[in-house]
Amino acid sequence: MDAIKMVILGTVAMLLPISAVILFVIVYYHRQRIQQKAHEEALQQAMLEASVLSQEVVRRQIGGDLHDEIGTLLSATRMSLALLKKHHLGTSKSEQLFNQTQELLNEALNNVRRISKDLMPSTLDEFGLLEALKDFSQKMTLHTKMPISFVYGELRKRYDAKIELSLYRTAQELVNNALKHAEASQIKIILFEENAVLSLQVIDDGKGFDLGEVNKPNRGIGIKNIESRISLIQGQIKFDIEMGKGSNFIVSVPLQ
Amino acid sequence: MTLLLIPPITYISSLTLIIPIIIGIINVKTIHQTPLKIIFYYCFVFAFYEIVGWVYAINGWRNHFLANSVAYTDVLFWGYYYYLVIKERLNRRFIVTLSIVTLSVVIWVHVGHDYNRVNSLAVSMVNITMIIIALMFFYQLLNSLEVENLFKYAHFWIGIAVLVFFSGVFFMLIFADYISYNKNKNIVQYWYLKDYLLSFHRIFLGAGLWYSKELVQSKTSVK
Repeated sequence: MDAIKMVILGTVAMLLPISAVILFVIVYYHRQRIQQKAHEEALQQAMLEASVLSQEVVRRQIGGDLHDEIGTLLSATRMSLALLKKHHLGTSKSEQLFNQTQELLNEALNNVRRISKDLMPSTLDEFGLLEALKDFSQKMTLHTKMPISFVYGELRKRYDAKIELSLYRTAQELVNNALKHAEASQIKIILFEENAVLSLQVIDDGKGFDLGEVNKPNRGIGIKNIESRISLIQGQIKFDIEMGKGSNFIVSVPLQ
Repeated sequence: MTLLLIPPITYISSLTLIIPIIIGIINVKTIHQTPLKIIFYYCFVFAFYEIVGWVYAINGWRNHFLANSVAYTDVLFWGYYYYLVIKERLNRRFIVTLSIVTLSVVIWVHVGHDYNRVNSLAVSMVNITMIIIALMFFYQLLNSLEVENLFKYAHFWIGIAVLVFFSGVFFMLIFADYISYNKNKNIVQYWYLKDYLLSFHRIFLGAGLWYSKELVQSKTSVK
């Protein structure tokens, strides 16, 4: 075979597999993109559902708080006022009823303050994420008797409001989950900044859980809600969970 | 570059270089990314080689030294281009190492040899390097799935330009030395093929520079 034929055959032999590679790249890429898109859409749908459900949960909670606490107190106040009307002012009975009514109103006022504080913590607004998490861990330790420690690194005084709120809510949700389901003996919250990435870590020594169970439809609204929140601030969440070995959540948010 | 004047295909292949240059000038405002700038400058360097090649060919002077010079240009430009386009650190290191090794081999084979003779070992080594690097880029593309529409992705077209050209001319350049030195007059027949591939190469480069706009638009939505 002369050199010319060899060159032509060799060129064809090189071009054919290269064309096949290019064709494969196009077809495979297209297929993978379709799958990825479907997956992203399903994830977005799940996040949207989680967000709607979580709003519903909050509404129910507020409704319940208003009905059980404020409503009851206001009914008692109304009854107290009705009794007060029956008695002449200046008598010891009326004095007692007056004091009782005042106490009921104070209690109602305190409850309104607590509910509104639960909805939007003033510490976060005024002093930032660091102080809010300090306050949160102290109060939770006090109320639940569960040691919740808060460790932090060198941090800026303030971060973007959206990042602060999202991380605060995430910490709240993760601590609440640990308290409700983990049967943990201690919870640790860690906040630190490294290489322009703000990271929040929530660790407990509880029983852990099966992440597969949480990912099933209609389960794990809390986790989906966190994912949805974190994705809004371009962050990432990593889980290090194993049955019987506690759980470790790491949320990382780029600051640029 | 023009090593032989074979009308009309030589004219056509030389003229196709105008395509990426004109597209680059039209889109000059959208060619922000350094890799695309490299491709744009690469076209100008090739325009220079074309002019030199034509001048030598018209005067009947031997211009095969250009093929050897192009080997250096290819390693430097394409090596740097893919170093910037490929993101994974390990792969980037590999590109740097491979480019240095290729350059060293090319320099080594040129030292003490007639520079005005196409050196098959040097050019085929460069071709293999380019094919490997372009395949690495396609592998990254398949793994990342970052691009919304592959056909509107500048680096995809540039990758095709590299793969088609360097794999197509691989066998030609291996035998270039043998054919030209055995005074085989049939060299003209296969040089046609090279000019066709060169035309495709430049058209694909033009397509890449054309989609530089899309690269600017999609940059804002990429996380």
